[in-house]
Order: sequence, then C-alpha cells, then structure tokens
Amino acid sequence: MNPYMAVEAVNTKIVTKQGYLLNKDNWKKLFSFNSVSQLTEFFRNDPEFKIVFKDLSTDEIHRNNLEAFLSKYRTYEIEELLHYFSGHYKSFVQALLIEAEIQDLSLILRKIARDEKLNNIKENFVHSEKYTDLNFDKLLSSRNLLSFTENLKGSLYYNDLRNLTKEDAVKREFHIEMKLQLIFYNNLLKKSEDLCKEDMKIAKDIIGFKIDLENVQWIYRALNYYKISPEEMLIYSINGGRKINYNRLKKLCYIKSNEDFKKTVNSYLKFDFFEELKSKTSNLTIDQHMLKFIKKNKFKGIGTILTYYFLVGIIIYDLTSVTEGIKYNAPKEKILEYLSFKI
Amino acid sequence: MALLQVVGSLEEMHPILKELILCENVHLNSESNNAYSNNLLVHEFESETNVIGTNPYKEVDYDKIYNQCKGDIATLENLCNVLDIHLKKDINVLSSSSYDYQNAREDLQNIISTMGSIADKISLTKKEISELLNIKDKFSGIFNQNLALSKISDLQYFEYEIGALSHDNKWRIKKNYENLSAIVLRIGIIKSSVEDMYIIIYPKQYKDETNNLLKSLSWNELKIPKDIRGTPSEMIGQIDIRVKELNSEIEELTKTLEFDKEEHKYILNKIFNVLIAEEKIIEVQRNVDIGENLFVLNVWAKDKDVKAIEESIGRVTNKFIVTKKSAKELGKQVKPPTKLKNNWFTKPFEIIVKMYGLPSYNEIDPTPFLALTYTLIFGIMFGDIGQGLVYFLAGYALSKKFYDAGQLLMRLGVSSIFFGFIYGSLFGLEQHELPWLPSLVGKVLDPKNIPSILLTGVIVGIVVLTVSYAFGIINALKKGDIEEGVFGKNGAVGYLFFVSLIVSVVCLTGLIKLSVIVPIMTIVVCLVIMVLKEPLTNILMNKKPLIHGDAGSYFTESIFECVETILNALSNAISFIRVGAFALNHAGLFLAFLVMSELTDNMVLKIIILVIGNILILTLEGLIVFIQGLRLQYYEMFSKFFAGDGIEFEPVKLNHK
Repeated sequence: MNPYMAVEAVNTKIVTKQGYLLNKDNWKKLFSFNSVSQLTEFFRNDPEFKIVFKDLSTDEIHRNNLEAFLSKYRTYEIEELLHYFSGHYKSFVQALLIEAEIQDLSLILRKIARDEKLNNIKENFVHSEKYTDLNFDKLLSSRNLLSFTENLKGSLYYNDLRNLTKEDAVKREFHIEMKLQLIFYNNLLKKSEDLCKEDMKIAKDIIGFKIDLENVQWIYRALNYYKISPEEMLIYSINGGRKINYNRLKKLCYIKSNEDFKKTVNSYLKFDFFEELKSKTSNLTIDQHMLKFIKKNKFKGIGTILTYYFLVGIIIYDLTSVTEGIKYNAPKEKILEYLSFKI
Repeated sequence: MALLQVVGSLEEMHPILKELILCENVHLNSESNNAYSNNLLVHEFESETNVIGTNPYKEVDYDKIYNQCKGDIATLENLCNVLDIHLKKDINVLSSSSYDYQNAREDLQNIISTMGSIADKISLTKKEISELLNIKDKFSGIFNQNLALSKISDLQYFEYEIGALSHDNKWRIKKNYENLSAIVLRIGIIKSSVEDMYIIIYPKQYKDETNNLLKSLSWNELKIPKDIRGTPSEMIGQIDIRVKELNSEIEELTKTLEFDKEEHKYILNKIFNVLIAEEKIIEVQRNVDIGENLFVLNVWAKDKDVKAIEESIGRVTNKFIVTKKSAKELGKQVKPPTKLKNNWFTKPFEIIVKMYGLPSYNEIDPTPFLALTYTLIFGIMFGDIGQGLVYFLAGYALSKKFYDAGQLLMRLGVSSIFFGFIYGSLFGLEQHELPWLPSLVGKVLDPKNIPSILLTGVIVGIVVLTVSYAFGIINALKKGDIEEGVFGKNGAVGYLFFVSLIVSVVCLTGLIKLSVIVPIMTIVVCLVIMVLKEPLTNILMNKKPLIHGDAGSYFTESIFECVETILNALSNAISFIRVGAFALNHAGLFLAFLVMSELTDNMVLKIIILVIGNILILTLEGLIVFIQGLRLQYYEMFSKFFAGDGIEFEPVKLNHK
C-alpha cells in the first residue's frame, strides 16, 4: 500500500472522469452546434467544465480565451486530485502545475517585451493560485523586463531568465519558450526520482515518451525553420527521453538532410512519427502519438494521474479546434481531421 | 462600538478624510452599504448645505495619483537613504492645512534639483562599490589566484569571458565539447551558489556564434571594469584600492551635502508625512460613496471616541453631518469589528485566542476565561518552584523583544511556582531530598495522592466545561439562535445531558444515594429533545414548516449527531484526566533522572545528570504541557462556545510599508 497516494480513490475518480470526457455522445452533441454561443452555453452547463466556465461573461469566445478556460480546467483537476497525495507524491503531482505557470509567465513576458498593456491579462491566467510560489501581482507590476526578472528572484525561473534582454524576448521568443519547457520537464523528472522505484519507472516511461515527441518536434522545426546552430539545438533538447537518449539527440541535431532525419527518428521511435505530418500541424501529431501511447499502455499507480494530465491536455486542444471549426463554419469532416481523439 | 456615517461636500472630502486618518480611531466599514440612496439624512444634508449642482463630481483617476504618490515616496526615500536621514511618522507636521500635497511635491522637486545630482552621484558610487565587491567575491573563489588573464586578453585572434554556469548547463556543454568552437574551463567556485566560475576562450571570428550559445546556456558573464587587469590576486588588490577611493569620494560628496542635509532634514520629513498621508487618503477614498456633490463614508468607532471624531472634523469644516448608530441598533445586519478589552493579567493571553480566531462583536471574549483556566491547568500539570522560576525569568527576558509572549510565559511561571509549593517540588527534588521544603499535599507520586490528583483533573474539567456550556448558551441566545442555545448539543439540553451522564457515573460508583434510573431517564429525554431540536424550535417560534427539507435526511443527520454527542460528552470529561496525568508524569520523569543520579557516587556526575534532567523537562515536557493545555482550550472548551469569526478593530492610521 502506498501511504502517499490514495491509489484506489485516484483510479476511481480518474476512470469516471475519463469516461465522461471521452464519451462519444457528448462529442457528437458538440458537432450539432452551429454557433460558438451554443458551444459556450454547453460548457457553462456541462457538469465537468461548468466550474471554470461560470466566470465567463460573454457568449462570443475567442480562441485564446477558450483555451485559457479549458486550461484552467486542467489546473483545477490537478488541484482537486492533489488532495489524494502527500509527501513526495504530492510534490511530484504539484510539479505538473508548473506547465500552467509557465504559460502565464510567457504571456506576461510577451506583453512586457512588446510594451503592451497588462490590463485584463489576469482573465487568461491558467496557473494554480493555491499552489504557486510566484507573486503574480508583483510580476504584473513590472514596468520592464529588468524588473520582471528581478521579481522572479528566488524562483525556479530566475537563473535561466535573469540575463534576458528585450531583443531576446522579441527576436528569440522560441528560445525563452524552450528554456521554460526545459525547466518544466527537468523539474518533473527530478521530482520523479523521489517516488518509489516502481512509480519512478512508470513516471519516467511516460514523461520520457512525451520528451521524445517534444524533442523530435523541436529539432524538426529548428532544422526547417530556425537558423540556429546544432549546438544550440542540442542545448534546448530535453534530456530523459524514453528511446532517444543524449547520444541519439546529438546525432539528430547534426543530421543535414530532412530525409535522413525522418528515417533516423522513425528507427529510434519504432513507429512512423511523420505519418500524417504533411497535412497536419506538428502539435496535433504529438497529441495523436501520445493518445495512442496512453491507450496502448494501461499504466497503474502514478501512471494514472500522469496519463490523465496529458489526456486532458489533448482534449483541450481538440475542443479548441472544434470551437474554431464551428466559428468559421468549417465542414464537420474537416474538423474531425484536426482532432486527435477519433470519434 | 458605533457605526458612524460621515456625510460631507465633495469639495471638503480631502480635509475631512485627512482628519479621520489623523485621529487614528476609526475603522473603515468594508461591507457594502446603500447609505447614499437610502438615508434621509443624506438628502437633508444636500438641502441644508445647498450644495446641489454647485460642484459636479469629476471622475478622478485614483490609480494615477496613487502611483504618482508612490513614485514620489520612492524618490524621497532614495534621497534620504543617501543622506542617511531616517524618516519617521509625525502627525504634528500635518496639522497645518496650508501645506498640501502639491506644496510637498514642489518642495521635493526643488530639493531634488539642488541636491539630487550629488545624491545621484553618491548613489551611483555606492552601486559601483557593490558591483566591485561582487567581482571581488567571485575572484576570491578562483582556484589559481595567479592566473595570467592579461596574457589571454593580449591574444590577437582570441577573446575570453569569465562568468558563471550552472552544473546542469556545464554538463550539456561538456557532452558536446568536440563540436564547440570554444574552450571552456572551470576556474573556481561561487560560495552559496549552485553555479561555478568558468572561463570561455574562443576565436574572435566565432564571437556571434559563441554569444548565441552562451545565451542558450544562461551564461552569467562577470563584467570586469577595463581598468582592472592582471591576475585574480592583483585584481582583488586593485578592487580594494578602487573601493577605498570610491568610499573617500562618497565621504567628500556627503560633506558637501552635510550643510544642506541639516537644513532640509525637517522639510524632508514633512514632505514624507504629507506624501504618506496622501497615499492613505487615496486608499480611504476608494471606500467612499460619491454622490452628485457629496460623499458618504461609513466607519466604525468606539462610543467614547465619537465626540473627538466630530470635533476633529469640525476643525476643518462646519458643513458635515455625522450620524451614529450603535451596533445594538443595527442588529444582525452588520458585522461590527471587535476590539478586545483585557486587563494587565489577561491581555497577554490574547495571542492564544487570536491564533484560533477573534471573537465577533456579540460574542463573549474568551480571553479572561482562557487566561484563568490555562494558568491553572498549566500550574497543575507543571508544578515546580525552581522550573517555574526559570520560566518566569525566561519570560521576563523574552518580554523585552516579544512583549506578549514573554508576559504570558511569566504568568505560567508564577502558576508553576504556586503549584510547586503545593506539591513541594524544587527542580524536581521533593521533601524526601530537601526536608526543609514546604509542601501542602506532599509527594505527588505518593500512592494515596495519585487517585485524588487524577480526580482533581476531571473535576477541574467538569467545572470549566460547565462555564464553557454557559458561554455557549449565552452566545447562541445573543444571536437569537434558540435551536442551538436551548435544544442544541452545546445548549441547555446538551448541558443537562452532560450533567446527567456525569451523575449516572457517580451513581454507579455509589458516592450518592440516587437510583441510576433517574439520570439515565434524563439522558434519554435529552437525546429525544436534541433529535427534535428543529421542529421544537419551530413550534416555539410558531414557524412552519416544522422541518425544512427532507424529513428522512433530517432525522438521519440528527440521530448521528446524537451519537456523536454521547461520544463527545464522555471524551470531553475524560480528556481532563490528562491534567492530573501530566502532573504525575512531571514528577515521574524527574524520578527517572533521580534514580539515574543515585547510580553514581560521583557528586559532579550526580549534579550533571540532574541538570540535564531539568533541561529536558523544561524544554520537551514544558512544550508538551503547553500544547496539551492548548488542546484542552481549543478542542474541549472553545468548540462549545467560540466561533472566532470576528474582524479585528483596525483604525486607519498613517503607515508606510
């Protein structure tokens, strides 16, 4: 028996929630809507989502807002599940909340770097107010990048952001995003070291798979779209992959041709990562592979909450795509193509 | 406590609010109020003062003024920091109404223009010194203090940088070393940091590439001033000389300001007070209801202060109305703040009450009761003349820094000394060891004393629980809650049930000649009444329906509550056995050390063992007794009568964080 995790309670709760979120009848209902306001009303009354949508005042919802509300749902879910954990297990699950915190930090950073006003930014915040160590009010009072980084002093993020210049924030935006992503995964892996042996293995397996996907996406983008050196590509790659270890990452970063890259990636991952990439975004590809991985492996223990966390992320992305589709009157078949979850 | 409604014209809002802040005895009512739209007096004020339409309200950007004010305070503080002037709150300088916020701002600008440049220079020089000391600190962590850095800087095709890198990033760079166009060497450590010092040497032609790489690694470059050169030890020497020079520069600059400083000391403090007053006024203004041309502010004040408040406002205007409604008149619709009133003995115990919560205005303040019972219970559990004296002296020393906590400890110490005389115990030693020691009951661990000490604990418990029930009943009835006050588990019927339970136990022991059937019947009747408390209350109040909601779930809930009441009543009384048990434990613990000391003939060793024993008793056992005492207060007593959801009376005052 694990004294730090109420295993049965978490499993029961998550199985019920998953069953609801993946209920095909609910998804079919979504497709019957013709306007965003109908969709918003649906979320407002939905037994799962209403908790975060109750604060929504307007009927017309922008993509960013919707994504924010749905991400708040993910934060809320983790906050609620945290009641079933204690000790190192609690701090591991709490480390998942950092992803939402990073999302908000990036938002503030982008606005400050572009000299935009920070008014109303709070409504798009998705971090957990209960479990954050950051003083967001203080961060919002930052007048420039220097005071912003100074306000981060003592936090997980300070060392990596302290030398940030305005030019970096505007021209090297993806660098910051990669740095923050590195912080999230490194911290999560570090926290997983404190779990019991069996759970640590499961956690590293799941996180490692996600890291593999993120790394492939990152190097693929860097090779094709960013003009950066292979050394930099390697620095921003995340360590701790399931199939792609450091030496393999290094090899990938120094590959010259696209074809060679794809071939090598597929040989490492043992499946075709690029199968549907031509017609879709790389985010969607990652989600689809992750969903397949979650469905194929029935993880237990800490794996249930970890897979649930990633699953909710995928659902959020899909729901956002449905809203976009409905907003622009896209044919249902077309919207379906852009979903990871196959109805 | 009274709720004051201050009505005045918008034109005079600023001076009125200023007076309210300066009199330091009003508490802002943060609850929403419909004062302006509902109150006849407000309209009366409008017609009497004939201010309608004369000065229409203009929207004021409070945030802008507030930020401006904060900015000015920061500038002033920086200047005074450089001048080494200590700014302090002084209400007297604000009494002159002619010197306002605008005057203060102008004066501040004038002072900044005359002294600002020198002060800025001093501030910059101080900053330079701190940077140099930071470099010195980093250089002192370099392993090879004779590293010839100047030779590297003389290289024609190479450049170098010294800086800090985290272990994680160091690992990243190390693993890909063969592909880097730079040499990376660890040259030292940085104390109290997870980073180490590194030197990076790279060909000049790869400067951009290297810079990008370093940025990705969150490289923290150490910027060395150009005029500092040589080996690290030479650089440290140069830094010391430079810091000395800069310090004398500061001294010189400060001297030139010395004359102005004395002259401006008073005015700077005056400006400071005007600025913090303005800051506070804006904070209060946010709570004001604005009408067409008048304002309404609701504040709480103590009854005896009302006259003084009116007189304060009267000093700046005669066009104002202050209406007063006592907390009693306002009834349940408001939540007045609470100001605890306690005498010199009970006051320090407020910290224990506040840890649980503050009594609401209509609730009985449990502090005197707690002070009395806590001191008594602590003394019974930890009675010793010598150890009590140690606590008393420790409390006295502590009270210099933490007044209330120290005073609290002193009182507990006195109680411990008192019971020390009753038990006849001095640092654990009793009459057997010290025959001259006075004692009332004799040895605590004497078999004939043990049952009476345990029984005393229970009797003390029954008495304090009786008072707790009484408080609970009074509090509930004050709130008009008949259901809880009369029929509830902490109400009159609850108490009757508790007493019956005790009486039945006493009957069973045969101490009183009464059939046990009588108290048991009372218990049953009480339980039935408690189950039916809601319908009984509604019958009494002539209200319908008798049960709100589903009757089935009401009875299920009530029956479970009764089971809980039975268990609680038993555990409540038994819980107080710990009072006696800890008195025995206290003596027993020392006995263990006494026995240990008797095992040796060496006098010094004997004394050492007894001293160690006393230290352990004073620290560990003292702490446990303190916590157990708190547990009895919070769990057994407070839960009967104290909700602790009051708001503290916090008068608006000048303060600046």
